[in-house]
Amino acid sequence: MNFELSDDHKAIRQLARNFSESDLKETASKWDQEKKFPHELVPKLAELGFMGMSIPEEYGGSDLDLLSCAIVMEEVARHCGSTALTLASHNGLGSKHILEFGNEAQKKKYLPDIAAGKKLSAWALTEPGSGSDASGMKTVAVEEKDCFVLNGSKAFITQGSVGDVYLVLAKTSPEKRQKGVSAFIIEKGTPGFTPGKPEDKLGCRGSDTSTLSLDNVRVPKENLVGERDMGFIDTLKILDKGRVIIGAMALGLGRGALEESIRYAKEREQFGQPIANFQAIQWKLANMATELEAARLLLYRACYLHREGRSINTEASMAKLFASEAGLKACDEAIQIHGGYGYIKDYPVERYWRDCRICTIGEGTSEVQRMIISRNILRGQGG
Amino acid sequence: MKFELTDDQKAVQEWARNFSETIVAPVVSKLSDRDKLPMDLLKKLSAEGFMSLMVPEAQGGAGLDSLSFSLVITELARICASTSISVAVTNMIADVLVREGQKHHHDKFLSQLLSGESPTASFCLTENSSGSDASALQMTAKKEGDQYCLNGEKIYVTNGAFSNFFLIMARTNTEINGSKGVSAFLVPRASKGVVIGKEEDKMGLNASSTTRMVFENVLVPESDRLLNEGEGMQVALRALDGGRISVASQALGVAKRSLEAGIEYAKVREQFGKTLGEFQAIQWKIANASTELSAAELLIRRAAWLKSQKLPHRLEASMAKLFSTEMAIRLCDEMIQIHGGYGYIKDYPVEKYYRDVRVTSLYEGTSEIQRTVIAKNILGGL
Repeated sequence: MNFELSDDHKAIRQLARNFSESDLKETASKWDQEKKFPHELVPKLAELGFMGMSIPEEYGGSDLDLLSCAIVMEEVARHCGSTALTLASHNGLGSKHILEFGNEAQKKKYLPDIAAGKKLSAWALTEPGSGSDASGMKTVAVEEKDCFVLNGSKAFITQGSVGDVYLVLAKTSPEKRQKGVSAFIIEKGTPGFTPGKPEDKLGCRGSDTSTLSLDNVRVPKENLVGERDMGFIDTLKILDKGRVIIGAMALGLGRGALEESIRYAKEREQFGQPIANFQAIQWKLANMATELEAARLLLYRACYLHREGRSINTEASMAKLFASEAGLKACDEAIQIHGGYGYIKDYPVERYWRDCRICTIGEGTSEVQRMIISRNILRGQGG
Repeated sequence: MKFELTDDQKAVQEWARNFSETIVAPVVSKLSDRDKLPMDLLKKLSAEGFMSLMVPEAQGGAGLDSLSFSLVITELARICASTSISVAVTNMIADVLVREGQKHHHDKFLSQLLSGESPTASFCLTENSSGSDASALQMTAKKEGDQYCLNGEKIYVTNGAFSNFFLIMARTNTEINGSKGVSAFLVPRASKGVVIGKEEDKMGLNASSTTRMVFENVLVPESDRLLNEGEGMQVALRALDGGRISVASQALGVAKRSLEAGIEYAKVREQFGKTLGEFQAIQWKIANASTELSAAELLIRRAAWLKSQKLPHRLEASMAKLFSTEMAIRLCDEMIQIHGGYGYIKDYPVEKYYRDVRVTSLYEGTSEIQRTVIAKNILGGL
């Protein structure tokens, strides 16, 4: 056992913390209120290596381990949930799928531009009619002589309207259900491939989310990623890591809520004394801090086990479930501690709650995490 | 970062599990709610080294680190919470003797724990009117020449019926209110004027001994005082700091066993033509319980690791204690729920787990005290 971060991990935390303080803290509220994707931020993110976090150096990435990615996520989310969500999707899904299952030509063609922030990546699995149950997917890909022809629609796609490189999942053998899904790279501007208008969301309003429509989109055969029919099975292999990343985002938002609450509780006076003197407030702070620490340890454990090459199916779900619920609870309590001011956009805590609200939904709802955990535990695996 | 026990720690865990399952379990499974732990079992635990786990090897102990100690308490509690608290309190006194005592204290008292002459030891802090506000205690120790005369009453003395000696906090200076007037004394059971009061009739932990104690003009030589006059509360607070990790570990052990019972039951019990484990309502309980149990275990291990690295750990120990004990109580309650009516019947063990674990958010600092400690730490830090 050793609960101390290595010097490398401490260094990446400091780097991300400085960036979050200097580039996100002041402007995050503006992006939120204007519902604006901050394109101007992308070059800086790329310069820091955050656009290709897990991409190997040979493709221009910074080759960070999962723990480093989680640390970056926590620090970025500390001030801006939207930017964290953008990074989660760009690093953890679209580019990750190409990195893990793409062939050498695909990796060479796409990853360097993705890591350099020249191209934003998006990943399209969810559809209007299939969320937690991905087997209900309706988008189909029919093989022709030199290409696949895709028809269907996708929903809730992060970077949906601003993406350049899309990884789209479609059924190639509908009768085989989950084992009949393939993954394709589709570039922006491909005829028949049209993003819908950006969704108007509760939170993470500075990240882009839209539908996609596919109308006889002809995708060259060399754009098939991984084996035919294995796209969804491959997806399951990257979701564990994605869960840790969303858990870390919730942790960052929860920590932000806690830190703002501590600051506020010491300044705000009622009944002749700072509200921090009241046990009612102390109790909330103690609970928030304790649960966030527990969340961080669950996340770090999953990262550690992943680095050791072990399956983290149970541990990633536990970390995601606990961290997202603890983070959200902390954000809600922060609003309560701030009283009426917590409901006003002059203070950041209502935004933290709105941003964090996605974390118990995206990358597998809390309900799906509980299904995975209980299934594994009842079978005697993990925990 | 490394979330793996060392080989030594794994070996200790295995040793404790094996002893708990093969030696402790057969004995305690025959006890009724009225029976206490047999002396014979306490002596076996002592002979096997369980009563001096963190005493350095050079002084005759097992020389374990804090994390290994925590693993042992968890393994014992998984089989018998009463045994685990008897062992935990005795070790707390052994550690006080090592940390605060001089050679003559070791020769006179620590040696009794190492030899098994005193199978357990006891800590006498709480009084009728001083619980969480411990330094308000009223028992007096009046200096008379080269000895002290002790008068007063103590309550909630764990191992009261088993111990040959007691660590007692008493007021040497009645002029000063609060902690500065308190000193620590070691008192043999055989001393004149020591009266072991009634065994408390408790909700759970029935096999452990919890007594009242009365001290009437008990004479204690000056040499049996630990540290200086007025430093007694420091002795007590340092002891309690480690005690928090140990109670958290105890709660974790009971919770583990309770969850195992819930899972076993959910797999075999059928309703509506399916096992309980096939219903989401039950799956949810098991998922929540497993997740929170993992979180508690990590908080405990971190606090214990910090302690063994001699790093500050007061905040972390309080977090571990608060979270683990409340988690365990919640979990044990949910496992009764999974068992339905059978959970309320003593043919099944889960009602006992709940009763045994309920005390963990009360002693060694209530949840409310832990929250106070945590809040003070984080409010001071910004």
